[in-house]
Amino acid sequence: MLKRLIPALLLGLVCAHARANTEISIAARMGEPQAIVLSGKTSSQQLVVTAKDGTKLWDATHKVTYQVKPAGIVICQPSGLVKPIKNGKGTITVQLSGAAPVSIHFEVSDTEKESAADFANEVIPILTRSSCNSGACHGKAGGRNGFRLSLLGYEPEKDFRYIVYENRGRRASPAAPDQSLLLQKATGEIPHEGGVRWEIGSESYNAIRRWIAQGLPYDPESPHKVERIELFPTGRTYQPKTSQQLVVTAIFTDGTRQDVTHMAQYEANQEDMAEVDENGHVEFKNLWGSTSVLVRFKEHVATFFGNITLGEMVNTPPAKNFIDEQVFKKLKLLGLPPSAPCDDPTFLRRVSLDVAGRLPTVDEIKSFLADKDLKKRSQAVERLLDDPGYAHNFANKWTSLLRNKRSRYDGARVTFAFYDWVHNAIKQNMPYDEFVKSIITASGESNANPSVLWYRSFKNDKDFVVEPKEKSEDFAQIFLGIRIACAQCHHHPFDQWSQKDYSALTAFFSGLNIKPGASKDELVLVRAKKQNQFNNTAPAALGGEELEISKYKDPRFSLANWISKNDNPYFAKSFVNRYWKQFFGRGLVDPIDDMRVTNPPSHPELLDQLAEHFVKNHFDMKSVIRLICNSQTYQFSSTPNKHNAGDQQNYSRFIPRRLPAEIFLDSINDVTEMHESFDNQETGTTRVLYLPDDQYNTRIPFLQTFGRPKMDSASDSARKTEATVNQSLAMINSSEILRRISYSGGRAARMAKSKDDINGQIDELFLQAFARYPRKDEKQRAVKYIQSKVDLAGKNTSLQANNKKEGIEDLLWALINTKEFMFNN
Amino acid sequence: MNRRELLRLGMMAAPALAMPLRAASPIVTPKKDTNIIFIWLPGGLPHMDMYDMKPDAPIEYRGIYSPIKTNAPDIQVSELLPRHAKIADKFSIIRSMHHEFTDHGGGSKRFMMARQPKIPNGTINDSPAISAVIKQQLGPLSDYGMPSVIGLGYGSVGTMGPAWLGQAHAPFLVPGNPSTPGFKVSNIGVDDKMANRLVDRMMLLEGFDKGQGSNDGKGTAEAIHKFNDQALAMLTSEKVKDAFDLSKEAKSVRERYGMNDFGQKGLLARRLVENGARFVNVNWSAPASPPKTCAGNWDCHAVNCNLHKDLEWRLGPYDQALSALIEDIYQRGMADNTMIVVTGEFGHTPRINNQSGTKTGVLQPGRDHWAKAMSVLVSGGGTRGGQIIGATNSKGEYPIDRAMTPNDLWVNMLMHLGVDHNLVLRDELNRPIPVLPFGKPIKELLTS
Repeated sequence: MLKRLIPALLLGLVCAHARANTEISIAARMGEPQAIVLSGKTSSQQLVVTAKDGTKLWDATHKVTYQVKPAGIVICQPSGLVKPIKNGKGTITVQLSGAAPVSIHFEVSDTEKESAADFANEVIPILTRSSCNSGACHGKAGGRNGFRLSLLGYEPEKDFRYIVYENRGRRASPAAPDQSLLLQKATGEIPHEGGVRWEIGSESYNAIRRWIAQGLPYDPESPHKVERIELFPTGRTYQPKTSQQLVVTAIFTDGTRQDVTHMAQYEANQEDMAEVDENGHVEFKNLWGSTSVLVRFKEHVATFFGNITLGEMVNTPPAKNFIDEQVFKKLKLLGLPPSAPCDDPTFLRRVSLDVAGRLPTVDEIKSFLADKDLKKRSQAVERLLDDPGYAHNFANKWTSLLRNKRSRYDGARVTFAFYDWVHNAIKQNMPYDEFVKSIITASGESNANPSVLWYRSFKNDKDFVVEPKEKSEDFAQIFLGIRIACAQCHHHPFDQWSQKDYSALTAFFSGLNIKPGASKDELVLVRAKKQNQFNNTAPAALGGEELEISKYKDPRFSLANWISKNDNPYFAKSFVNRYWKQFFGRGLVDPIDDMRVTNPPSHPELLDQLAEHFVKNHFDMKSVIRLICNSQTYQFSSTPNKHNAGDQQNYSRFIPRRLPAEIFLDSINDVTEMHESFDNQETGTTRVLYLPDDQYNTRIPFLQTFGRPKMDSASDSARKTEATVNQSLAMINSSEILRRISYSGGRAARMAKSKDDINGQIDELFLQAFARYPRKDEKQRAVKYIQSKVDLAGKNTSLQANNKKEGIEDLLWALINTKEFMFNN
Repeated sequence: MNRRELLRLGMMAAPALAMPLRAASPIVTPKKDTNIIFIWLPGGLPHMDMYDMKPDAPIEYRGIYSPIKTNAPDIQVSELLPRHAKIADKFSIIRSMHHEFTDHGGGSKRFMMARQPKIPNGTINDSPAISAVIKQQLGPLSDYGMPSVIGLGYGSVGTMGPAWLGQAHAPFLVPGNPSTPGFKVSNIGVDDKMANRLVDRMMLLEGFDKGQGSNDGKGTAEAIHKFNDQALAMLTSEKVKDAFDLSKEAKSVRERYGMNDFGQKGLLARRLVENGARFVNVNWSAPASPPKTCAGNWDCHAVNCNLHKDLEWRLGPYDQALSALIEDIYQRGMADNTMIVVTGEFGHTPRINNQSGTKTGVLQPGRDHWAKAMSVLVSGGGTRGGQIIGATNSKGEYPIDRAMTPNDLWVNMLMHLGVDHNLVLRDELNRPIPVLPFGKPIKELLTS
């Protein structure tokens, strides 16, 4: 057995007080300074040395010197890695200038024996670490160039078969281990498209060679299985440009422990903040905030989480609710000063766009600015929550995730009915648990229960079918924030979910069928089969026990009960995280639908408190919005101070966001005063945001160009927010935009004809576009430009009128092309 | 102020910016001057009547046409393709292409996405078309504003969809028939009046667009500036405008290609790749408005057309246009850089089916959908011509040698463009998705 650490007695923390106020401590795992016990010549132990200056902790593992006494029994590398030479006992003393030395004992045994090779716990991890079994190489479905491996080594039994029995045994030949293709390819002795993975004589080479030479031993039933892994340290606060050595210990089902630091895999979640090497050494860059590192050994994962501090003095305005308390606490921890609170015009434009999905009207802005009430901001939030735009804004969001896509053949009623149902639920502020339960337990005719329509998946472009896998994947992603799809074919690479978990969740949605109803506008959902198993697996909620449900009962009701239980770990959190993103542009866990142990929240306590609030308030969706919009955090200015321009995750300023396609086009329509007329739209609406399905995505290409989702994905990221050259073409020269600007019934025409003072008209235009009055220079520029156009016409009055209109058109074009207009600032 | 001054103002396009995703495989150096003219015959070409003749098969299979010899010893083509016969040393025919989707939408998606579509019909991709990946990898525009990936006409354009890659990677669409007098391309070569107005507008915008926050820390504002510059370059570039202007070609050249939809689109494609386009999907549905006995595209069911009348009507212009294009790229020394691929979504049934035509009302011959075997023509791109690659059985029903799928052809096409064919992209769930889940280079076509 390679690199084994026999369990040792707890010895208590060994610290030594130094003359110059620095203390150091040393640990072999979990912060426990146990004796190092090395058994077998391939064993090893990574140490972690922590220094303490006053209250500040820092990692000194790579900074200290290691002295081994007596010499010749172990070797301790400058990185703190201890390897055996021969059997014996002794002490390693750690020295750091300015600190008293500390020591740790070691004991080495069994170096004369060759360790028994271990296919599952040694060979497979090497293949994983060398990326042999990654999705891009041999782990790809069907393998690569004739050699396949299970993805990330999750199925050792299959890997054993592939390596040992396929290709006429040439991959691993015990008779001539060095002639094994597995070694010759990976070392590049035989040309290998994947390049050299390890050198001859390296530890990886030797370990695999040993396994081959020992006759390819493998016992799938071996009790020596990894039960869990431990990580030390799991994280704390760091200065920029410092580092941290990690130690990873595997704990086996038979109770043994082993240092696997040099066998595990590491992946930095935010590469701009921290890098990690293959030995578990994390180096922080010159950027502050929270950062995490994913650690994986076999199917087990752990996460290291560090806060990197800037260290400036932080003064915060008074906290308005617990959101601010948590956010400010973090800002203080990081030493990151926030921007100033935003002004009234900025607030009203921001909150109107975010809550009601529209720009504030000129009248709303004027009265808001004139209002002297100290509570006017929270009153505005209340007004907007009652605005018709609110329900449409959020119905738009939900129906898109719930795939309200129209088929080529179905009547509009199908998608309209579903939209109306969702819209009404939001409008009436239906408790969220009830909303979700109504969707997942829906049955019967769509006319009576429109929420059954969530169950329709496209069999082809005309017929529908219930696709249990799509439903369980969507359910997990939308309502739990979990991406379970990976686990359909293999163990989730970054999470705890197995194929069994996947099947158990999918079992809730098995046995359903959807068929045409009495009219072409109607579908009927029935439990066609008395069946509640999927892949021979009984239903179980994620992380829950298998449920014994009679096949005569619809298992979906059990799932519905599970979601709203107070201790459900995902349901409420996923919702508040999703809504948080609506207002801040990123989730506390981000991406919002990828909540997993290896993707920790930036503000864990805040996420917990928001979820608690939500549950306590009976899943009142509006209450979460109220809380967020009334927080000081939401009301910070987006203008950065000296320190926080680079802040993406600590909410020290408001991060401007581009307007979503629908709201952007509505806003252009409000500015140009050309409104939409839609055919076949029941609502008779003129607002793009109120469109119930994807039908207009092709009729108004602008919507797709600016990233409106096709409404056939449960992924939040189906809405694209990046800038593209097509968007520039659309804004600069498309007929869609030019038509609006020059519309004969629009604002340019109206302003050109008006006898009113041009100054007042420009004020009104700015109020509409930016919710603020123009600055003096802006007003001058606008007036001057229009006048210069009029002057070009000389004395020809009809040409004057025409030129004035053209001048105003140019002005409209320029304003809707400003970043200030395109963004919610 | 005129266009030239506008560009001097610093609004000149920056080099096109590709947004690379994490690639798992070794970096492949993108080539700059290689390109592909991808000719799509919607409905699928009837291989038994064109490139995979079976003179020894029963009459209901072989049909009424005979193969003719060509200037390449190994290649025989249909007697309806006499101009092909003179230049067969400059192209190769793959006879053993096949897949499993016999619906037009499904087959097109299968071909363009290089994987199995989730639903077997419809034209909306559930995974990005390879052409969208090409655009994402090579950037949307060339240095001076030529769109990199272009769709001429509709047809496979539906299945060029970028799916989760995002609308930014949809092709630049040029609808219409370039042989018609009123043919105009939107967003190319704006007139002087509009150009001047754009200058005014851009200057006005500059005055209003100063430091109003909008700093999202992710560079979006900067990206908008950059793309605005690129868009302006595209709108005002003389070079791009000229590339789309067929009147710049000598009348004799235009006539050599044929004054019809096929010919002029082929010529336009050549002009576009000469001027920086990298992948031009040319949709050849019909050379002109079809007579009663003929179909609007290559879907030669008896219900749609009389197979023989249809082929005799469409293959003349086809033979002329394609041979002109091939000759032209060889004569101009473009044959190493420009690869021409001609394909449809599938082949047609080897056995002729007689049915009553919808338009004619009389019993007539036709061939139905067939994906188990199809023929593909490849020319240029450094490939050796004069080869027959693969073979079907005696009745043209399925491959008996070198069976291959569209993925294999995509490997060669990506290699030609310098795009890593082992590229792995991340989908909406951040899962690593290989662009080509399988596929091997067609060795016969690799540059020797």
